[in-house]
Amino acid sequence: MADAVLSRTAAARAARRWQWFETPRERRAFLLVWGGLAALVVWYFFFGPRAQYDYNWRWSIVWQYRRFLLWGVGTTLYIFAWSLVFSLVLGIFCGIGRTTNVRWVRALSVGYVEIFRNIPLLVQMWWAYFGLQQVVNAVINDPLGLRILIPSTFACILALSLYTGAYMGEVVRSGIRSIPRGQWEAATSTGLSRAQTWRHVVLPQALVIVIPPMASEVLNIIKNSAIAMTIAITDLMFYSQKIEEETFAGFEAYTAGTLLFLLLTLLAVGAIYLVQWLLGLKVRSAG
Amino acid sequence: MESFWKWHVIPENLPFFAGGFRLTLTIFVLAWVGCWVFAVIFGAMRHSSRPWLRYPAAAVVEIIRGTPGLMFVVWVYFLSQPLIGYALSPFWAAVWALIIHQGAYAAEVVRAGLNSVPRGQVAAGYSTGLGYVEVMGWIVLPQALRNMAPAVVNRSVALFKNTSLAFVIGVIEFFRAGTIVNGRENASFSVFTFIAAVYFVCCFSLSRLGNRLGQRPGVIEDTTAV
Repeated sequence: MADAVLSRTAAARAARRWQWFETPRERRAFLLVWGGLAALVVWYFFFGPRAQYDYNWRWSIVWQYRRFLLWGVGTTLYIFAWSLVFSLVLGIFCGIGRTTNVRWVRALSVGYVEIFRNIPLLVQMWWAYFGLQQVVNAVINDPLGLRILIPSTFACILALSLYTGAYMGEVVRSGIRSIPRGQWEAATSTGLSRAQTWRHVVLPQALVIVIPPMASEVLNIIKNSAIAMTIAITDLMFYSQKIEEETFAGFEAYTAGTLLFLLLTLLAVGAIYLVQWLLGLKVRSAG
Repeated sequence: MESFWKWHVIPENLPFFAGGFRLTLTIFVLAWVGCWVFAVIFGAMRHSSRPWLRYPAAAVVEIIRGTPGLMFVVWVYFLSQPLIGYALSPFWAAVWALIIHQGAYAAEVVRAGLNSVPRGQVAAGYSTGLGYVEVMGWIVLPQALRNMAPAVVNRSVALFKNTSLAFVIGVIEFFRAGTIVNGRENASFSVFTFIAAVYFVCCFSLSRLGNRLGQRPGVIEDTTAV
């Protein structure tokens, strides 16, 4: 026991920093756990129930259909870019709205956040595409004899922006809340107006504080944009499904799509780190 | 001229909606339990000071968190073919996908909860002669759980919303029940407003509970738009 306590002290840890295992027992545990898992996987693939079946791997399909995947990535990035702009604007205004003293603005912002955070994005997107179309038909198209169709891209960007904007509003609000009261009082006593205080004192600090949590919401736009496939947006998810439909190589197609999504997310993480570095901030995890 | 105001389809199809909602609740309960088992295992591994536990767990969690939930549901559904030789039923594919995908997010909640207890307390526990189980059970967990409670509720809200993703592989849960009704009645405005309202009532009341638990300093917040 005393040995274990000693090995936990900071000095002991610093001395052994480059050692993977602190005791031989840990090395045995490591080999047992991960070696056991690896052995299980190997056993499963060669002798398990699966070995009786013969799955026809066709990874070359991914390369054959690379154009589909690239088009999908393009559409996903297009949706991501517009949703990012709109949701950032929505989020910042909503965050300000939630911290003002004007009661009706606050009520409006709270209502917006609660409604859009508590309904699945899938439902929102279908509402914006199919539900809204029916309203447009009944109110505009039929009386005036027009044929206005809501583009699915519009519905998708609308729903995605409103959904992410609600979450970003919460992030901005907590950023603004973290600015000490003294700063407001100091700004007022130096003669700044309310608008000037927002513009020169509060927002420049709050928006820097919220960069790490905001970054994780930005990544969520990429991931959530996969849902746009259900309203026939030709994004990465849609083209993965199309490859599956044309070749029946479902596992290969969706694995390629998943890896491309992962790549996009990692690129976005890199871009966020770059922005933080350019702004001269301490780089923190943006998971 | 056709009206979009067709609320009569809701009571007419109520038994069908109720069946879908029951399936949604079943998926939610099964995935909730599994997701927290996954989360405790991987959260504890990421919290561990041993690199051989920490890094593999971190890799798994970060890779899963980097992929979209919808993609993950479809992927698990098709993964079962090469892995176990036959396709999982859509229901179980959805449950497993939600367990793993939401479990990765929940693991971050568990890790944050464990991190919220100062390491000095753990060291103090060891130095008074307690073992790992006693330190975890008597010192770390009581405090960690209290700090985690609001984030756990938020995660549950997210899981409830994400059960709608099961729709994409053909599980007739609440949302798919709605799309089927809509296909027959052509009442998309009424149907989807009704579905949105039901989801809102469920998730909003859950998140109110979370807010009530979270009115003190030191709690962990989890506001991830997934």
